Amino acid sequence: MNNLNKQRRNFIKATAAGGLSCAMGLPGTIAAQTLGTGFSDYKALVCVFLAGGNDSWNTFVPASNAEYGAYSRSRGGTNGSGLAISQSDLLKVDDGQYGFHPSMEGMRSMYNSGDCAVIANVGPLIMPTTPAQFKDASVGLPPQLFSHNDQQDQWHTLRGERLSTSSGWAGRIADGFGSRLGAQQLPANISLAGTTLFQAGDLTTPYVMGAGGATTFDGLDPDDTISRTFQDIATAPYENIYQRGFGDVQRRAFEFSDTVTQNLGAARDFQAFSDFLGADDLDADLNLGLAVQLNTVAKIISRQSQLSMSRQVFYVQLGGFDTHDNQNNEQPLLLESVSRSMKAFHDAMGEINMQNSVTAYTASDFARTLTSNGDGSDHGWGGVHFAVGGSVNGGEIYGNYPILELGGELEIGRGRFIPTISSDQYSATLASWFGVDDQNLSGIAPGIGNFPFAERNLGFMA
Amino acid sequence: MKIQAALCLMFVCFNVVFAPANAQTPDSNFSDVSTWSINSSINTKNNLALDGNPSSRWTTRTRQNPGQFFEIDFNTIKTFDRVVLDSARSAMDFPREYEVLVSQNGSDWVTVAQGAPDAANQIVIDFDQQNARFLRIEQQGSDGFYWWSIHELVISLENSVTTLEPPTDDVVNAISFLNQATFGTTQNELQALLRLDDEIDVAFEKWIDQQLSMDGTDNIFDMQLANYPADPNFVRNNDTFVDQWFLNAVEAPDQLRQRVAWALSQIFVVSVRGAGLHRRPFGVGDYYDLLIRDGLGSYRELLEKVTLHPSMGQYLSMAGNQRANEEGTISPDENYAREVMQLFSVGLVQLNIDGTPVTAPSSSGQDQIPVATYDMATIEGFARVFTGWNYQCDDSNERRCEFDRLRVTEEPPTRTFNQVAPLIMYPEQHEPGTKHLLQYPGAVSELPAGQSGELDLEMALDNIADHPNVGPFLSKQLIQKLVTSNPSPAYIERVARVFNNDGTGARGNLGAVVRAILLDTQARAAITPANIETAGKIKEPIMRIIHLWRNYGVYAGTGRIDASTTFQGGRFSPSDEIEQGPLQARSVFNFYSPSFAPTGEIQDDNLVAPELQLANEFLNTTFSNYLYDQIFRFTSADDQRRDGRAFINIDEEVELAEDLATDEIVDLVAVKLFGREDRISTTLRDHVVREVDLINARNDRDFENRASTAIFLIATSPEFAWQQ
Repeated sequence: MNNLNKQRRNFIKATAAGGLSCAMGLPGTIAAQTLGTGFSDYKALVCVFLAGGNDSWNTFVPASNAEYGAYSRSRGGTNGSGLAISQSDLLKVDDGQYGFHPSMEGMRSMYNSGDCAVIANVGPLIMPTTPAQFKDASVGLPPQLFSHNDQQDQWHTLRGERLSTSSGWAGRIADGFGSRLGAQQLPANISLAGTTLFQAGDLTTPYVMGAGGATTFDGLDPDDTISRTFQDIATAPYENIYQRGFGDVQRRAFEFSDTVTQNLGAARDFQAFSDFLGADDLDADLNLGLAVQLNTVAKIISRQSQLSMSRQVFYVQLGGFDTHDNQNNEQPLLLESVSRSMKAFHDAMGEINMQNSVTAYTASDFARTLTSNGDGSDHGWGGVHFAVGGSVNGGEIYGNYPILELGGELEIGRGRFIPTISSDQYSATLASWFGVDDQNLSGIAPGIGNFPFAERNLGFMA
Repeated sequence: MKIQAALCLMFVCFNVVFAPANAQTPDSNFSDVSTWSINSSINTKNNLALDGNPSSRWTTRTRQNPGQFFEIDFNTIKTFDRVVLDSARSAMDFPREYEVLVSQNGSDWVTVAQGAPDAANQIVIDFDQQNARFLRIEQQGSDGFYWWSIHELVISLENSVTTLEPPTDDVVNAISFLNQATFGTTQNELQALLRLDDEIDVAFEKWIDQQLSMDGTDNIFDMQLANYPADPNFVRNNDTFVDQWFLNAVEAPDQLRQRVAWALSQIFVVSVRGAGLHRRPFGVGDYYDLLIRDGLGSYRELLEKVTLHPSMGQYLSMAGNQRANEEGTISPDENYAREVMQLFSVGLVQLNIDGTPVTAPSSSGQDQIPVATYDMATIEGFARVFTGWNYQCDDSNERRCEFDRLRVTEEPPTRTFNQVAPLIMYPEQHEPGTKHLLQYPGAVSELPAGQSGELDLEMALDNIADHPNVGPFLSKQLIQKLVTSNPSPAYIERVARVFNNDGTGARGNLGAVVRAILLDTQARAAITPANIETAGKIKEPIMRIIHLWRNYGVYAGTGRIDASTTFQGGRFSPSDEIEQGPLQARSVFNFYSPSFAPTGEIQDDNLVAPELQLANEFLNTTFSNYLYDQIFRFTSADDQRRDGRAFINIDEEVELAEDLATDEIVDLVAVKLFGREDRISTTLRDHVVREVDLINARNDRDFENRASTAIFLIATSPEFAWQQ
């Protein structure tokens, strides 16, 4: 046990409680406790996690005659058990050099308008790694490559080989901002998709809400005595650590639910989401979960001044990307959901003039093998990701998109690729935009020092 | 005046009491008659024999003939040693010859008494104490004129083996034991356990013996899908399986099997949220039944049955796994190969027998990191082993179909396959070459080329099951799911050693492993101020609901708990609402991770609390709201709707509320939810009493409100969320 940690935490708890009493209309002292300089602007980061490992080689595809051939061969063509997308169906960009998956019109339009950047061949790395180094294991590699939960954890924590790290990089950002966040009425980290390591701080705890927003406790009107009793029971000094852990969640749930519910109730509706979610020609199999989550995120962002928020990180998630089977039928619907949901979100931010303050980006367990297993693909490593927002230097590909050839330069079997950009660099670029100072960057992305100084910021954020 | 005569027959001695027609019918020990299922040869008005009213009767409506019977399924194990047959005013309708039989499963019967009374309107039949789920009275004689009638049938326990109240420590220990081994302690189960032996440790052993000897109560049979595959297009809502699962969790007598199967279903995960399995309630139910039937048997056999079950084949895409093509653009599917090792057997890192990882320095030399159990080559080797397996066809007389045609990719599926028959080998799709397997001392880790697919599978599963990791890996997870989140390494080692050798030389005896887990000193240690800090675990949300239901006589108008009306949400009840449900995890990684630790002191202390991953602000709110509905609206006090919605019976609490006996309400709730009235903390008691006493006490609504408030505050408390 780390006693120092505990002491620090207790201090933070005390200040957090101060912030809350402020929110509840009691005399607050948070301003007096502010140590650093508060933020004068508002920014939000939205992590769109594609759970299961998105086949990103089919998401953004080489379309030039020279490179499409290698891609198509590696994927077994477009017929039978082949996984390739037909060259003519691709939604081409960059004079036909590349193309988005045919179901991603929204993403292409944002790319063309300069609001979407493509970051090519990203994945967890300890340090720059060559195929030779990979083969003879002469450099450290992310533990348990190709395993879902371990690689998700790598993306969430950027911990590399420091497996005892139990905080996520967004959690550490919130820890580091500390009192600079002032009297925010909600925790800086909010998940709409369950508890994640990504947002767990060493000192701060995220708030978890439902995809459609918070729910209030039935029968527990804050003005009734039963609410007081309910909270007293939650916070009683239990002798058992799990009881205290459970009670702590009850307390937090009760404290925030009214604030969130009232603000969501007062939030505006967004035309972009009404148009998408209200359309009557939606494919019945299209998963709208991501759009519902992002619609709720948009509403919370729209209340940032009422909630006194200056920095927020949201976590949303869409599952189903582990396409070992039936990929050609399932992935198009998933990508359509990603593309239309992120486009609607970006448009919604336009409706409230917040596009420059909000950046959404994708992350995923890993990319997938180029070769087919019959009608799907297996776990890979490096892949393609997207950052979307008004502050994104979009319309460009950052990094080197590899030639998708079996036996090619970075290929290590079955069409798995060694990343050429680490998730540390990708995350650090986003964190810098978000307001993390250079000297604090290694606390957020601990492996960043292993990469060339000039490449710590990939340049896709303004 | 009674005349008592002792009759001795071939097997047993028993007493027959002759009593005048106006004799009082004796009392039963059992108050849950309404939950019993009754069957008889005529099968009409059966309940009139058990309605407590000696005027009404069950009768054969025909002359007495051998084979007539009256049968009760208690839906739980009952302990009894007396049956009284009261024919009251139908004095001549006593059975001419009868036999009393009991059974654990409804199919294997044991005769415990028989007799041929001359004349009697109240026949008292005593026998050795029985623990049984089924009771049957069978007519052996005949009469040319009279019917056979039972005005009242009374079953009771007259001579309790344990006459002394067991010591408090033993009772507390027994409550804790049953919370670990069942879906929640009930008073019936507790009393039955305590009665098994004066020595509590012996009682535990006997209880486990009893449970191991029981057949599993399965889901499929009761889903009445036995006609499958006569209807090859059989597609039903997945709720068919879920409804039956709830019923079994609440009342099946083989609670240990049910509880262990539930734990195993969270290790060998198959989920209706993936691969179109929601369209296969029959296959999914059968998969769960496999875990019930074989979950306490041999690990190696279980692993093979899991591997070849069509639901697993569909979920982790092993069914239809084809060999590589010459062009190199098709490779064997690695999905099952990866997860069977990572999640079902050995895990990612090498373990010592006490569950701690074997470590080595990291590349930087700054950290010690765990040593991997296998590498990519091993996964590719197993992927090759698992090629060639596919479903059995069910729409023709041939089991074997064309390999390609069987891929179930169409949505909705236009073709069907047998949802329960094991996958079979299609040799033309099996990889012929060598296969690289797990490496460890003594392992056969290289399969030669050219073996049959069946032999490759046998040898590959042996290679997995014999790996030294399996014992500590599985033991730790089972301990975490049954007993405590943070078992000591020594506890894990003691159990892992039983996995490695059950004492007879057999490896992987899961029944012995479960016994070792439940009887271990750490599991049975009394809670003291010294060990309370990290003892026990958090109960999963669904366990809390079932624990409540088991003690509040859950019932539904339709006779079955309809998950889709009891829980809110869409396609997946109940997990759409409470994030848990049988075979409804969001991925093969289950509802929560065995290594989850929330930010705060639990993480700081290097502890884990896996079930707390299902306790976040959102889920705790929806869970509290579920309980609010259940406890304030869907109860016996407000019982307007008669559908499949689950209701609970709070009559006793309401009655106490009418007497303004708030302390006694808390006592009663504590008995039901904590096993004993003194197992609730004084802090919680004081809070609840204070709050309840603030509520008006003027009318029925107020009294109901008082009763519900007490139950609600306790059921949502951190104390009830804790399994000690």
